[in-house]
Amino acid sequence: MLGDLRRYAAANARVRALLSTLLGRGGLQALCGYPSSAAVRAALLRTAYGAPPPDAGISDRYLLARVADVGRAVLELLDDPERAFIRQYLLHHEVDSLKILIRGVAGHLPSPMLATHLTAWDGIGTIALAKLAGATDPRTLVERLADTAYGPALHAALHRLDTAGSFALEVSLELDYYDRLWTATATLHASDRDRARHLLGILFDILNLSWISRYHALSLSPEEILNYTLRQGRWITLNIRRLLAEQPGTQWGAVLGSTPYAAFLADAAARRFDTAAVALWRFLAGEIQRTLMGYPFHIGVPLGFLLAQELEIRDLRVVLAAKSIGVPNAEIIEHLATVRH
Amino acid sequence: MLSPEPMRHLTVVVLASELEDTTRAIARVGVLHLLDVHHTVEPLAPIRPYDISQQLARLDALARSLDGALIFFGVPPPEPETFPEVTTALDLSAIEARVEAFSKQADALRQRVRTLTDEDLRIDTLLRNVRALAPLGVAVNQLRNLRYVHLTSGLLPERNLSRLHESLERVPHVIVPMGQAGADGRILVTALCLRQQRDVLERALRSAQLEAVELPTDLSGTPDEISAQLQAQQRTHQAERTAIDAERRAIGARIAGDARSLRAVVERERLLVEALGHMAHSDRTSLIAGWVPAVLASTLERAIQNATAGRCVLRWADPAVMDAVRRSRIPVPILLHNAVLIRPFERLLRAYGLPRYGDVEPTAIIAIAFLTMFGFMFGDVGQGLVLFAIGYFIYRRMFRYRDYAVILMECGVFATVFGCLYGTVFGSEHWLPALWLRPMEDVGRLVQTAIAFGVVFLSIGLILNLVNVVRRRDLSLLWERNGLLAALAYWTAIGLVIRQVTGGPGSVTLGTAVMWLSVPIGLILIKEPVRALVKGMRDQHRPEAGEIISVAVESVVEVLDTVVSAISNTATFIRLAAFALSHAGLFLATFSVADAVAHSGGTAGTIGAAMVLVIGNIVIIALEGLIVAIQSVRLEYYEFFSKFYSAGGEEYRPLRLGAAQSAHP
Repeated sequence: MLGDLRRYAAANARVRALLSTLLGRGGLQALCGYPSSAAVRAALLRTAYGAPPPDAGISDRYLLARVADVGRAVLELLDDPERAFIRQYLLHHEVDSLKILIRGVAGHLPSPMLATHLTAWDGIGTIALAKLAGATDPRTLVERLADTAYGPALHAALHRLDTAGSFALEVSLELDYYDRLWTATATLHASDRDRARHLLGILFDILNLSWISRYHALSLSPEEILNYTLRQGRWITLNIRRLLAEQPGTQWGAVLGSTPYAAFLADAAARRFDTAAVALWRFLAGEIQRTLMGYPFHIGVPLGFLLAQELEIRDLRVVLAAKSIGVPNAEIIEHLATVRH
Repeated sequence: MLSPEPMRHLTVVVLASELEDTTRAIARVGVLHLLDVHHTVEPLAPIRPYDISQQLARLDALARSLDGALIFFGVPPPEPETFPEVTTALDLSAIEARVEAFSKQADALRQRVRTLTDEDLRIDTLLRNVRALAPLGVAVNQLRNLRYVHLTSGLLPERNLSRLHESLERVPHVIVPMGQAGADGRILVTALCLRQQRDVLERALRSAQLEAVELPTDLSGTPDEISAQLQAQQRTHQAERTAIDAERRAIGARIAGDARSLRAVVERERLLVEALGHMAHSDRTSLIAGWVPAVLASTLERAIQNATAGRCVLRWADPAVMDAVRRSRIPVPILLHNAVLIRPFERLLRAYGLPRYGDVEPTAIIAIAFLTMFGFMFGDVGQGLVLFAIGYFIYRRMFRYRDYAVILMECGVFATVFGCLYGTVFGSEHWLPALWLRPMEDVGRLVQTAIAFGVVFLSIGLILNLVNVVRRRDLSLLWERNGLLAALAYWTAIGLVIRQVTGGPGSVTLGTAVMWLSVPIGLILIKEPVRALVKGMRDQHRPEAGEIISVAVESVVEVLDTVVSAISNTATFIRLAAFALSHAGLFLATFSVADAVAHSGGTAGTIGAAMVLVIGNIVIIALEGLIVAIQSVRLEYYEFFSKFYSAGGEEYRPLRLGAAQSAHP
């Protein structure tokens, strides 16, 4: 108990302060009420997201810069192993950037253009993404990453580049990263480990469900689907993954009967998964909300806050995109995952 | 002396049809520093530039091809001195055909090497794969031709093994890992399933990132037998490589002369085409302009007259009367021309920046000052002779470093001379009498001399500044920083100090000093206000109070700056004495250590002491020599040059084929 207090007192205070900067469901709904995408952007400037840097506009880089800022703020007040774990969690953004980079390099996108899509993760990231943007082809890129944590996973998939394209590298990179993230929970104290695995497990479940849905659309075999999904999770076991992988036409509600997801996906056949996915994200948001309440000195608080911040950014993207094509307000609100007011 | 080589400006008009011959004649003489006529000459009729881009591109392509061939065939590039004599116009197409022939020969050999390399890479992969299968002990063709079973071997990331097992639950299969995982974390596995389920297995293996081991289709036998066959192929390839290399060298020897000559011709032609870019033409005539050292003007004129059979117009001009030069629109190139022993010090000047044409060219002064300061700080007969010997060795053996060798020899001479004055040989003061003083015993006189040297050196700087002012014919510069007033103030102060030192205490009272110094300093003080006043009267503008205060403050600051910099610039020369003392001090330390070692007893002690002395001397020569040289350069650049020198001159680079572009005429 005293140990928890020492480890998390400062971080908890910082997180509480940062939580107040989130827009919350109310703020997001208010943004939906603005008449246009431009008005939403203007309104956003008056929030904690502030003015974008001169060259960025309101783009993914601008929104992710907020994640980087709050990530650094949280990391500052933690010590290892909690700090290392949270940092490892934040690195999923670096993995996302790396995927963009791989795709861009494989598509021969000019490096200056590619660089504009990459976010700097100063103080968090492990690689200089901007420098890598100059790589001329995926093989060179993998060579340059040889000495990083991503090197072995990318190298192992390099022989499939010609037949499977950048997908081979991306999937290998992602599976390896999430595997290492899960392994990192083992370094935490026992109570923290369970809390971290609860939240991460739900995240992994959602990722697995969405990936399985996508792989079915790509006509991958059940064996490939199993090999391309995460082996860890909260409720989605190997058996459930196998059933989902082997029977694409099955109503997912039946397969997921033993999990809390059944209620959300009862009517969602695999091919309609994307429209039902928001319910899963909302479920995660609810779990985060529960984690942030009650006893405050545990890893769930910083991790939950970062997840909440990322969900809010997901929702902001939805609002901005929907507003730009004139989707009605009520429909946009249906697609928001954030539940916290 | 103290001036760069006088230059004359030349403008030539020739018939356009004779331009090429004229250019070659100019290049042959090699003394015309070309000017871009579009920016420097005001023609009487409209002129157009020559479009040289295509020719340059052709020549560059030729140069690249030739360089590639020369490198491939191991032929050294031609030295500029060996460039052929300029004769007539070249047939570029003919040269291109010859160069293409070289390139084709090189490409053919390169292709053979590339094929071998690719083949070797394939064999390397096969060897690795076959060796990986060796533990199975089964003939490779048997593995290829299984009837009911599908078998695949490959390298799999070890951590994906359990994932693979999980994914293949619905398919009867066997996966056998062999040996240990390698450094890349991958392990060799062999996977089997029924033939009709091969697709399922293959897709699962691929998604688990298995890299299949390719089996050689044209070879049969056990893995060991196949390995032996592949190694035999590698040996054959190696022999083939040796043969190709011999052929390459033979061709290189055969074409060396021709290829080098062509490369030189291309380089020469490129220079001429570049020169063309500086020229311009009207419908029937061409215009050339440039600078020539005055002493060589008639030589160049004769060459141009001969090349054009007199069908040319030459106009010479002296830079002193050229309006464009006075307005700095055309820079006059600088050609330094010093005696052999002084010339190496031109490097010091170039490092700082060349002087502007018309200004004082101080190489001779900085050479003498540098050597004097070096000798003063590094005075020792023995070490001076060592420096001289090293310099002489470099002079004889390393032609490229000839300039440094001369400087080293001269430093050696001056160190030896000062060594005689100090009576020091390798730090020992017992072998020679001191002709002047011993630094450690007469520190006061040493310091006084160092400061006196500084005063003289700085005064020369101030005088040279006045000379520059006169040469530029701009007397307003006399009143600027380090001008006449500053010089007067400095010399007055120095006079007062000398009077005080030589006349004894009380010979210069405070009143006397104030009276003498008040004149130049007062003039500096009122200079700016007077100037502002005169300007105001001329412009019929009555200065406001703010302007007057600003000018007055500026004058006070200038006085303070003049006084402080004069004191600090002079005092800094104390370092000459300080380094002379530190030189002697280092010897003292060396002797003390040597003594201690000698007293440790016996022959070993004597040998040890001798070694300490030798090593000590080497360290002093290397370390102190370097420091002393740096200090001398520092005093010249910061204290001396700041008094009068303004760099910004352009180096004289004549159009000349072959030899260095900045050679002396």
